[in-house]
Amino acid sequence: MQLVRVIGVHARIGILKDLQYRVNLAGQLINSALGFLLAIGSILVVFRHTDLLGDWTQTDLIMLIGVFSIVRGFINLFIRPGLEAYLEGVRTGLFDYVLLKPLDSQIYVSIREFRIWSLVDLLTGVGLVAWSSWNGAAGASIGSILLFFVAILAGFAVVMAFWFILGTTAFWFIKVDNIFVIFDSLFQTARWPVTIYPGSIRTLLTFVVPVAWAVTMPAATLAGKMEAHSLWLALLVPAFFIAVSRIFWNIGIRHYSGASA
Amino acid sequence: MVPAIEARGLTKSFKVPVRQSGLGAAVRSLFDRKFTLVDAVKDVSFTIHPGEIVGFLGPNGAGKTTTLKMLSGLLHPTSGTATVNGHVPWQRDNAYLRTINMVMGNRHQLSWDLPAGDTYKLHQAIYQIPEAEFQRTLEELTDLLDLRDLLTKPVRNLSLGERMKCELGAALLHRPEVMFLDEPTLGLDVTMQHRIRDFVQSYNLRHGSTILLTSHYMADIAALCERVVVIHRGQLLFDGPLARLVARFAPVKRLTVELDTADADLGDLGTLVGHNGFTYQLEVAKDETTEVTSHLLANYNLSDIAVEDLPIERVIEQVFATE
Repeated sequence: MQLVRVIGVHARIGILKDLQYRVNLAGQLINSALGFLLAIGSILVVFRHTDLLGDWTQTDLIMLIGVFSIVRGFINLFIRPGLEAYLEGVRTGLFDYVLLKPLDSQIYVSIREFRIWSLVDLLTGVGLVAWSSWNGAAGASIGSILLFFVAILAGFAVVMAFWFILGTTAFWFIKVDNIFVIFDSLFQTARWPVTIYPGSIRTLLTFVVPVAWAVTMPAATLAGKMEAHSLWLALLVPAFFIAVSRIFWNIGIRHYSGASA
Repeated sequence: MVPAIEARGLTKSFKVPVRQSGLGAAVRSLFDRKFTLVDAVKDVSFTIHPGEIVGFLGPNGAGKTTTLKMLSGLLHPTSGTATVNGHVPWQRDNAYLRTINMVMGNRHQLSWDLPAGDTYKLHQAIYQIPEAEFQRTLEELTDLLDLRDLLTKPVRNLSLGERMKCELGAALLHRPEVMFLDEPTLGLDVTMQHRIRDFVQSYNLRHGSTILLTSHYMADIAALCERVVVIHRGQLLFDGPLARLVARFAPVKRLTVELDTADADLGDLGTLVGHNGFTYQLEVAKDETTEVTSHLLANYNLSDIAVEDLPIERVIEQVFATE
């Protein structure tokens, strides 16, 4: 209840802040439109030469782009702003004020900042997923839609835990902003299903930088390419990542030295 | 009485990277980092009772802030123990954090782009303050701090002093029993320093909260704190009433005399610290003051004489000079 209210107030503050800077909305719209056109364009080019990429049809892939967009929107809506504010806080010492609050510090860090214009990406993604499901991406059914929601929540959790694991290193190294740039580059690979990459890269994208769980897995679920029994993995993996990120965070806090006065 | 704050042997050492200046050294240190251990706080112990206002004194880098941060749960000590309100601070239980707060003069937590009132709402949610109680506290703080017109203006449009008033308000919304104030009057003009000081005092009287305060302005300490804890190079140097600190480290009085001659030799009577025309300033051991005064009266033609304690700043200077 406390958490819901805190999230509510922060969301309101985020909206108030963003509304002051309307130019950012235009920037976000252009950025989303370009990303959208580029992604769809490249799919159309590929499918001029083939009907099937691995076992993914053109509609399946458009749906995948939709999921990619949703996850990217989710990251930019509040994972990135929250973690950027946290990194800044560790450098300037403002993180002191986070630790002083009677709230779980890791949860508080992740709900503190919102960039509402990123909803544009998220909504575009939802639109693409809805359109492609409607237009017969392989096996969309009520069951697979339900599983899709589970899978995408699991995907959010994995990405979030992964960002936290990266961000926690700031307690030791103070300035680690570039780590997120590396994540961004690797995340671009998620525009395609991980199953089309060669083995070693696929392993990397599944277990080291877990973009497979965030994008390919939910999309495959909705397209009916996942067997229900392999879905337990989709729950186990986020649980594992969250546990690791929490343990690491709690160790990290002990090493927080604060910026001196 | 259960103490509000109890510290036993608190010690904190930091690993600090060392390297020579220059580009070469910077490149070398990328691959081969050298560290030294610096003791910011060494074996500090003290006890503070509920309702006390204690001044925490020390030059820059003495370890004041580090101690405050350990007591407020931000830092884990290297060794030693502490309890505040019966909790171990660095375990950071929510129940503990609800009973304390810390205000830092050099760091602001209010959101820059928004009116302070919005951040207050946020604190209401975080500390789960019921609406009626929130309104009551807010009214009281508005009165005491004169916040009325400030809460609706974006924080970036406030002056430094106004911002500090809003910061204090934000920190006190949940009525903490223990407050750590780290240089709350930093950079403020004299009038505003005065306002903040008065506020801290009346807040303490009204709610009996325990306050541990650091400040570089001795006027703050002299006005607010009967008791001071002096820390220097991480070690505790003195803990007791301010008056005793003065007696112990400045056992002298300052005599200002005006004579009818500009070249009297008063060097034998005490330490001559100032001489300007007919006016002389002497520092004389306290128990010799009477003797010196009568000697002056008997042997010189005095047009004026004043006997005072040393200014507190000078006392502190002497405290740190003795180390």
